Amino acid sequence: MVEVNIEFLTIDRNTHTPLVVLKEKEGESKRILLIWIGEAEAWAIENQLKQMPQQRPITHDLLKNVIDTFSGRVDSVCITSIEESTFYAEVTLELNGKKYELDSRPSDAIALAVRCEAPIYVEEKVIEENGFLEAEVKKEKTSQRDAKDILENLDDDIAKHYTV
Amino acid sequence: MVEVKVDYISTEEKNGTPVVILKQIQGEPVRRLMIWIGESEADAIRFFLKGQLFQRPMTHDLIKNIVDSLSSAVIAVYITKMQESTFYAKLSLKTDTEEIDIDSRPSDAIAIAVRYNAPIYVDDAVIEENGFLEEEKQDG
Repeated sequence: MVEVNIEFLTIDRNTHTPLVVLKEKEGESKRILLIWIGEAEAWAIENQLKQMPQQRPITHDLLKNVIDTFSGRVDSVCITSIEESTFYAEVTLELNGKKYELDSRPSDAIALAVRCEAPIYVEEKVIEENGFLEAEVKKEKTSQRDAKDILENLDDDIAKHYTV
Repeated sequence: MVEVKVDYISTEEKNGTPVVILKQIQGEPVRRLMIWIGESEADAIRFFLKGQLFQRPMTHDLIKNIVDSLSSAVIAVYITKMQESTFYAKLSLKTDTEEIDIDSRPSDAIAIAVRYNAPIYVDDAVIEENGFLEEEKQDG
C-alpha cells in the first residue's frame, strides 16, 4: 500500500468527466493515478479542499457528521482494486476500538478522507498496473489516447482553475 | 407533524431544477409540498424508488452502510422548518440506548429515508405555509 495525495482535480476535456489526480506521497519516482469520478463527488472534494463555506451540510458533510455523532473515526481510505475499468475502494472506520471496512467508490472515499483528514492509500498492485511516472508525463508525447495523453491535454484554463 | 411520502420527482419548468413532491398520507384535503433539490440527490431518490440497481454503492448507500455498521438505523426523517427559501431537515437515528438527531438537507434526508423505508414527517407550520392542494397542480 502506498500513500497518495490529491494532486489536483480537473475535467477530462475529451469526455467532460471530472478527474481526480492522485500522486504518490513518498519515494523518488512519484507515480500518478487518474480516477474519473462523478460531478457531485468532484464538487464535494473541491468544496472541502477550497474550504468553500456552505450554508447547509452537503451529502459528504452529512456522512462525516453521522460518523462524528457516533464518536467514530475514519482511520484511512484505500483504493483497493480495479475491475472492468472500475476502481474499488474501502473506508476503514474505527469505533470503540473496533475496525470496520466498508465498500465504497473511490470518489466517496476521497471526499470523506479530505473531511476527516484521513490518509488515502492505493494498493501497490493497483498503482503498479494503472499508475505512471510523473517524469513520463512531462517528457513523453504519445499518440495513443491513454491516461498520459489525457493528462498532457488537459484544458489549461480548467486545470488552473481546479488546481488545488 | 404530518406524515408524507415521495409522490414523484420532477423538474421545475422555469429553470430545470429537480424538485421532489411530497404528498400527505392521511387526512383531507391532501396537501403536497414541493422542495427544490440537487441533481445527484434527485437521482439518489429516483433510482432507488425505481428499484434500479447499481454495480457500486452510491453516496447515500454508503451512508446507510455506515449507519448499519454502527449498529444504528434511521427511524424517521423530519422536514422541520423553512428559512429564507431553504427547507431544513433532520435524521432521527436509533441506537441500543438512545435516539439521536442529525441536521440534514431534506434531499439527503429523503434519499436516506427511502433506503430505510423510514417515515418522512413535515412540521405542521411548514406544510401549512408552503403546501399546496392536489387539484392545484396536475402536471408532472
